[in-house]
This record gives sequence, structure tokens and C-alpha cells, in this order.
Amino acid sequence: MKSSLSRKVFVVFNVAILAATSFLCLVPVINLIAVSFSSRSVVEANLVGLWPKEFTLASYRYVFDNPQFYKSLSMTVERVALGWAVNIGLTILVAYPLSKEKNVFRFRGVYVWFFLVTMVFSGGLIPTYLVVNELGLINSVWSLILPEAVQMFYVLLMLNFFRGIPKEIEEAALTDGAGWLRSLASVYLPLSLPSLATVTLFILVGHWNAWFDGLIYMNLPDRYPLMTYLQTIVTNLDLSQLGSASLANNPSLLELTGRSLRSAMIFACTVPILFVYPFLQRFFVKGMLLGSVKG
Amino acid sequence: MAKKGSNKWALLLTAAMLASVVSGCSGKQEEARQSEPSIASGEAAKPVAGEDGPLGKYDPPIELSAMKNLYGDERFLPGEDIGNNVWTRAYLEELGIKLHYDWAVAGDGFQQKVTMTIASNDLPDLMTLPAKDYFALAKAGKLADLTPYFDKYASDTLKSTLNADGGMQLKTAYVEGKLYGIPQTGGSDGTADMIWIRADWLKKLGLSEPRTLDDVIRIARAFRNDDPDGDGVKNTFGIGFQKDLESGTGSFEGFLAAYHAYAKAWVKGEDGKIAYGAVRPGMKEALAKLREMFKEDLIDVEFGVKDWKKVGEDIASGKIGLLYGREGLPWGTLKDSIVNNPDAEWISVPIVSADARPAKPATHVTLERYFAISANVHHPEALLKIINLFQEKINNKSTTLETLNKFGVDPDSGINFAAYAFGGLDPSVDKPNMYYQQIKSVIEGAEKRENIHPEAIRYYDTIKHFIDNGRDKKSDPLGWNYYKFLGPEGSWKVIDHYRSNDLMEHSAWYGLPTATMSRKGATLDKLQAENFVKIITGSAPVSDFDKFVADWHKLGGDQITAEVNEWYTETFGQ
Repeated sequence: MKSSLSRKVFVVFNVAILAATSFLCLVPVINLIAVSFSSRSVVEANLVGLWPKEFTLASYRYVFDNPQFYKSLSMTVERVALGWAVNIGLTILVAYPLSKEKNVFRFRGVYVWFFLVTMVFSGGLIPTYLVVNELGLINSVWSLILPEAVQMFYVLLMLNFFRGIPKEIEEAALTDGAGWLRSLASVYLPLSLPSLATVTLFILVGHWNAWFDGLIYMNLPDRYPLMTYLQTIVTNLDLSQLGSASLANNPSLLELTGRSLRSAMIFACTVPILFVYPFLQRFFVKGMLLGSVKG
Repeated sequence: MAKKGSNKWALLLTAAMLASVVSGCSGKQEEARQSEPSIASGEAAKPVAGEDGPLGKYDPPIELSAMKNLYGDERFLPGEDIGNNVWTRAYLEELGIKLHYDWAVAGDGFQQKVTMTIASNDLPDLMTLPAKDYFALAKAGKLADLTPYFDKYASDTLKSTLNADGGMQLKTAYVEGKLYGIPQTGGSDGTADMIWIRADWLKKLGLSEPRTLDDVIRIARAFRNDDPDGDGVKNTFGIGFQKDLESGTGSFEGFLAAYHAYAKAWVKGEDGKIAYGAVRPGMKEALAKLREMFKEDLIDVEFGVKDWKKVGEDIASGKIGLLYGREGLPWGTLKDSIVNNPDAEWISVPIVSADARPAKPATHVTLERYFAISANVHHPEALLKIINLFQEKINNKSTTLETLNKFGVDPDSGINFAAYAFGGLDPSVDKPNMYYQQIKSVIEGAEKRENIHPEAIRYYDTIKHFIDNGRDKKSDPLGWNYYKFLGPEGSWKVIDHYRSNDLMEHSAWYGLPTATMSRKGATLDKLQAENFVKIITGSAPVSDFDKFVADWHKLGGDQITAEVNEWYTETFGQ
């Protein structure tokens, strides 16, 4: 393709504007990192821009010296792993039958409504708590997983993807003697890797970032997932609330009130989940179905 | 995304649908629970004969469950946790009480969890309750009546801690004449505003400490126009104010007090009636003065969008050298300021008056929490015993340094064990009052170091070390911290001045929202904040203040005033 002048102008502007936009998105993150590596006093004077001033690792040392950080991290890993298995398994098992036509799955309409209701209505905070409490799940990792085990939004994503797969492929499998489960496992799932990867990403990030359920279902901070722990540190410690008499008793509390420490906490809690993205990238493949059905 | 939006709908609709169902359920549950025999409190346990008193031991031990609010960053010695530490061991060994925490949570989560616990009827035996829930549960009969036990079981130390303010805070805990809990008392002197000034700037510009409001304005003018930091750029503000009308860093409250008006305090007038400070005479003049100062460019034009943290940044970066604030400032932004610039020299002086009457800063008691014990427990006095133990170890006048190290701040790890105790409460007159005086008399040679309170000794040592090392802020910012806080030139010197000259206006309202306040308080606060900022910045005429006063009375202010007066008379008598 020959590039005309107008094309060149477009490319230059396009690249410039997109680069500027992505830079704008990165600035807060860079500032956060710079703040986390700076000493408390320069940060409190708002003197740190995109590069650390009076470089120090004190904030990170504080974060990583606290045993609670590791307890919370392992709690989060546990809930993400279990939560992913439960969510993705149930999502597939719900989406597959619902993706069938009414002549194949007679009560489809009833079930679709059954699930759609949960998208519009929820029990509300206190009734949900009461249910979880009566089931004896309080303080257990399952209280973070079971209440949100089937997310209709993920089901809809999977369902629509299943519908996009040509019926003829499944018919071929059924003709060759496969049952429904075999067809799901051997035909649909291998062809659905891109949408499975998408849903997996949603699930992982969703479980990683959830903090409110940890706060109300876990009895002691020992069992808090990482984001709940982060939330208590970032939002609760306020110098004006602590009072000077308790500070005089325990000056180390002072260090906690700095933005530097909060930034270090936020960064340390965000990095692990960032690594998920490149690993899932390779599943986003196009054209997997090209040439599967002829005539 | 679609889901987020729909959640609100879901809440609304299902709340209506489920309300009936849920209340039905919990009613049944309650019956079931009440018919169960209570096992929580070990019915068989009898206090050892002859030893039953404030610290009498149960034998065999009784078991109690509890709930607790945390700071958010509790640290523990290896192998210990909130349910196993020096305090829980002391409860078992000294009182024969096996305490275990059903739950413990920090910050905003505390209120959430309390609401859940009450909704699911899972109340533990020992409770730490936000004021609103305390009164609700007391009226519902869920809390044990402590009235018959208080005289016998509250220790002398506990009684003196609660009576430090004449028992005012304790009186708020009575519901229909009965005592259902002990308030988490605390001092209020520390909420008084004072003036903080950069003494190095004063010296450079040839000014002296302010005695009147005109002095303050003169200093502000010089700090704005005469380049106090000497960098040749007009980048300093005259006086630092924050947008909110609450006392704190860059507070208006101390300034308004020059005109005997208060933005937030409830003031008892000469007629014995309590009135809201913001609608009192004097406020109009005070706002007009602030408006003049704003016009003269002595106040940051952006103050209307700066909260106390943002003002703190200006202080720490050396742009503000004059402000109203509290005694704790050396712990926060002032310390950052001297770390960034060791030439900065901060002093604190009492607030000043605009006329011949001395100015009185407002002080506030905020009662947030009450300690209570469930009505199902067979030994309601156990609550008092547990609270006694904290008083015995921490607030007892004859406590030793050894005890304080064991139950208070651990000198090796720096962990404050006192935070793990259940029912920890401080005297209703601030401890720093006493520490300041004791430290001063030791420095002046009138008292021996060994004779003062062990906690004061610790602060004295730090302060002495700072003085002896030539007051080097750069190498010892923490020493400077304590020096400016409790030292002979510290902020508690100013509060000592207020106290000894009866210069404090104690707000008559203790922070327990009245019915109308819960409904309309937020609206009224917003009305006030908007009007005040508009008048100060000149976008509304000063005469709008009269309109605000009329609106305030009309929109619920009258009702709130009546309720506050009623509460006050009911609680404290005339």
C-alpha cells in the first residue's frame, strides 16, 4: 500500500495522541511508585513527582516485615485458586445447556429466567450475611467463594461464545457417538479458549480485588485476604483519629500515617495480579474456527 | 457493569420484599436461643469467698466471649495474637476469666460488623458498642444492668479515672436511671486550638509574638508580602486555613473564638440555655474579618478546596508559617516541616481575642464507644473486673515502670500492648496535663526524676537528651517532637495556660446524635459550610449570614437545639 501524505499525517497524529493518552494513564502509577520509594517528609510536603526523592526502602521494609502481609497473601492465593476452580466450573456447566436451542433443551426458558433474576436482584447485605452465618461459613474461606459462585455475567459471556460455534461441529461429534458431556469436553472447550481466558481473567482479578466480603465474613484480621488488609491500612489510619497521647506512647504509628507507606502497600498488593495478563495473552487467538465447516 | 447498577435496585426491591420474612425469622431464632440454657458464663463458678472485690478471682474460671475494635495495624510478639497475649493471660491468671474474641475489626468495618452481629443476634458476652447501638441495645434489654454492681466492683482507680471530669462522661451512659455500660472516656483538653508560628520568620521580619487579633493579622500580612523564607519569590501564604469548619490543622475554630463565636461547639449561655456556636452574635463580625483578609490576599485563594492534608503539605513544604491548630501538630506536618528544613522553628502560643474579653478555645468531648456485658451472663461484674485490671496496670498512680513495660509499651519491640486490652480507657482529663507539669518541675529541679509517673520519666529522658544535645532538630527529630509536645516550651504549656486561667469553652454536646441531628444534621452542616465559604471568598455578601441564621433555625436547627438542651438537662440535671 502506497502511503499518501494524508496517510502519513494520520499516522503521526495517531501515534502521538495514543502515546500521550497512554502516558497520562501511566503517570499516576509512576507517581505512586516514586512516592513509595521516597522518605516520609518529602512526600508529606508533596515534593515528589515522577522520580523518587531521598530514596529509601523503609516503606517496603515495613510492608514485608509484617507477618500479616504473608498471612493475607496466602489467604488471597487460596481464595483465588479455589474461587477460580468453582467459578469457571460452574460457569461452563451453566452456560453449555443454556446455549442450546429450545427444541434441544425444553426448559431452557425457565432456567434462563431463573439465572437472570440473580443479575437484577440480590438478597441485600444483611440477609446474605444471615444466610452465610447460618450455613456456618463465617471465618471460612468458602464464605468468600460460595456466595458468588455463579456470576451470571460470566455465564452470558460463555453462553454467547458457545452459540457462536457452528452447530454442525457438534452434530458431527454426536453422529460419531459422543454424548453431551463428551461434546462439551472435546469440542466446545478446546474451541472456547479465548472466552475461557477472558472469563478466567475476570474471575482472577475479581477475587484478587474483592475486599468487602473479607471484612464482614472474617472474624479476625488474621484471616483477611490481602485487599481487606490493604483497605484497613489505607483508609483507617488517620493521624487525627489516633490522638497525640497514643502517638507519644508508640511513635512507630507515625510512620504508618505517611502516604509513602500506603503507596508501597498498594504497589506490593497490585504487582502479583499484573503478571497474570501476559500469561493469558496467548489464548486470545483469532480465526480458530476458520475452515471448520465447508459447504 | 450492568450488574453494578442493578445492585442498588436489587437492594431497594428486595429490602422491601424480605423485610417481613427476615424479621419473622429472627424472631423465631431469638425464642429458640432464649430457651437454651446459657452456658456462656459457667453457672457453677462462684467467686472465692472473702476475696470477692474489684479484682476478685473466679475459681473455677469462667469463660466469656468478646468483640473488639482495632487500630488496623496491630503487631504481635511471635506466637501471640489478639486472643493470646499478656492481657488475656492476665485475665485468666489474675481474674479467672477465660476471654476469647468472637471477632475484632478495624476502622469503618467495626460499625458494619456490629450491625451484622446485632442483625444475626450473635452478640458476644462482652461488647464494645458504638454509642447509637449501646442505647438501642440497652433499651431492648440486651445489656446487663450494672447499677447494683458498680459501687462494689468498680475499683478506686476506675472511679477516679471516671470522675476526673466530675463524672460527666459517665453520666451519659445512664439509660432511664440505670447504668448499662462504661463509656470509653478520654480527655478533651487536647481539642483546644492554639496558634502555631514560625519563630524564625518572626525574628527575620522583626516581629513579636501575637497578643491580639490585630497582631495576628499584622504577622499574616508580613508573612505574605515580606518574603519570610528569603527566596525572593512571593510564594508564602499569610495564614493557613482548610476548607472544613472542623478543628484540626488550619482550623477556623481558634480564629472565630476571637469573636467568642464557634463553628461547631454548643455553648452554654448565661441564661443556662445551650445554643449552637455558629448562630451566635460575633460570628458575623468574624466572617467579615476573614472576608477582609481574603480580599487582602492573606489567605490562600484555593483554601476552599484544600482539606487538612493539603494544608499540611503547604506547611511541610515551607509555604505556611502561621496557623491555628491543635497540640498534636508536632507529631504530624510540623515534624515533616523541620525534617525538610531544619531551620524552621515552630512555637505555639494561646489564641488571641479581638476585643477586651479573653478568647476561649472550644473543646469537645466525643464519646464514641461504650463497654457493656450481655444480659445473659451470670456475672455482670466481670466486665467491671476486666476494666479494673487495665486501670490497675496502666492508670494506677503507683504503677511501676516494670508493669508499664509489661502491659503497656514494650521497650524492646516498641509494640503497645495496651491496645490489646478489652475495655481500656483513659482518665477524662488528659494524662499529658500531668506529664507536662511533672517534666517541667524535674527540669526546674523542684522534683526528682524517680518520683514522677513512669510514663513521664520516659518522655522526660527523651526531652532531656534533646536539650543536652544542643536541641539539634536535624539529628533528633523525634526528640524535638517530644520537646514541642510535653517539654517546657511544648504545646501542653499552652493548654496548661488555658486550664489554669479557666480559658476553655467546653462544648455542651458530647457527640451522641439526637433524633433530628441524625436526620437533618448533614444538610445543616452543608448549609453552614457553603454559606461561610461563600461569605469569606466574597461571592456572597456578609448580610447573607442573617439569612443563613434564619434558614438554620427553620430547617431543623430549632428542633436540634431543643433536643440538645433536653438531653443535657436529663443527663446532667440543671
